[in-house]
Amino acid sequence: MVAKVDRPHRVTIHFEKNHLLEIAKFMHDELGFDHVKGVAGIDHPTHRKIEVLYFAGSYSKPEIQDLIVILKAELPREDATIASAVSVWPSSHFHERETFEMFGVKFEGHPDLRKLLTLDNWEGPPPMLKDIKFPEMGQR
Amino acid sequence: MSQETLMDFAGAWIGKLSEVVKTITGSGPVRYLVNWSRMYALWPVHITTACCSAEFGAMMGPRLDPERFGLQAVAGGLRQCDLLIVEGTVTKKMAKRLKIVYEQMARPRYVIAMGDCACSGGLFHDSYSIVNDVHKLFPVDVYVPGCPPRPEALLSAIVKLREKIRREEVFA
Repeated sequence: MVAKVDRPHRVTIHFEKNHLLEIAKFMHDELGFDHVKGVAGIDHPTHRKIEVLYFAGSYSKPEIQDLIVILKAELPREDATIASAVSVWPSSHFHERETFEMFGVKFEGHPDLRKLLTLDNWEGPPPMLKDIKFPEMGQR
Repeated sequence: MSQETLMDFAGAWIGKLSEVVKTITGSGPVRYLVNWSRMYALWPVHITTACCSAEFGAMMGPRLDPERFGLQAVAGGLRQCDLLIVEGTVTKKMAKRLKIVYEQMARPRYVIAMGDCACSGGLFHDSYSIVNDVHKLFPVDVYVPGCPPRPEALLSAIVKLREKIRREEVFA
């Protein structure tokens, strides 16, 4: 686990993917980070990996209200699976659904992992992966 | 008189009557009057598909005052409106709603495609969720390129549309 301060009020923590729930519980219970502002994915097709990012913040503690802690995990691209943080941070519910839909990351233990934003009859691959092309839209 | 002959009789008279109406409205003064009243009462639909609606709002304000050119204030009733301004990017989900709005509008109805995205996809061209060509959904009268177009550009599109209405036939 590596933590570094990118710039004032921004801290990035790189962690192994099976430690997510422990870190989340510690941050929620001990440090007071009570919500997730967003869950994002980054695709790296040349390195064959997908990064998942949790942006955690706090409303309840005034002294850390400006602080955003970014939890970052690298997943293999073929088997992108990580535990869901909904049990600790309920606000990550819809964000994890979106990341599942756009990047194909499976969140184990998510209560309702369905697609969220794409068309109702959407059956294509996860559209945000960089090597996915849509020839019917004119992409080459 | 049997029913068929009655229908033939009525059909013939309706055909003659429509010929007469077409002749009258096709004549110069009547056509001028009808087109004049149409081009001075354009009621726009306000359906925000994307961010170009900010420029639309700037255009509707008192600084440019489009009511000089017959563009009325946004009223809200779709069935009384006759000008659809496609304000920006049209996603595939929004395209369905846009088509419904267009079909509810009163005839004759006119469409302005505002912004690069509505014209040809623009910044999001060939994206998986975008309709590149709005003119495949309904006929477009005036295209306004720009990302976003200036309010003056949209106003000049209104003037262009008025030119088009002034020259068109009453029953196209």
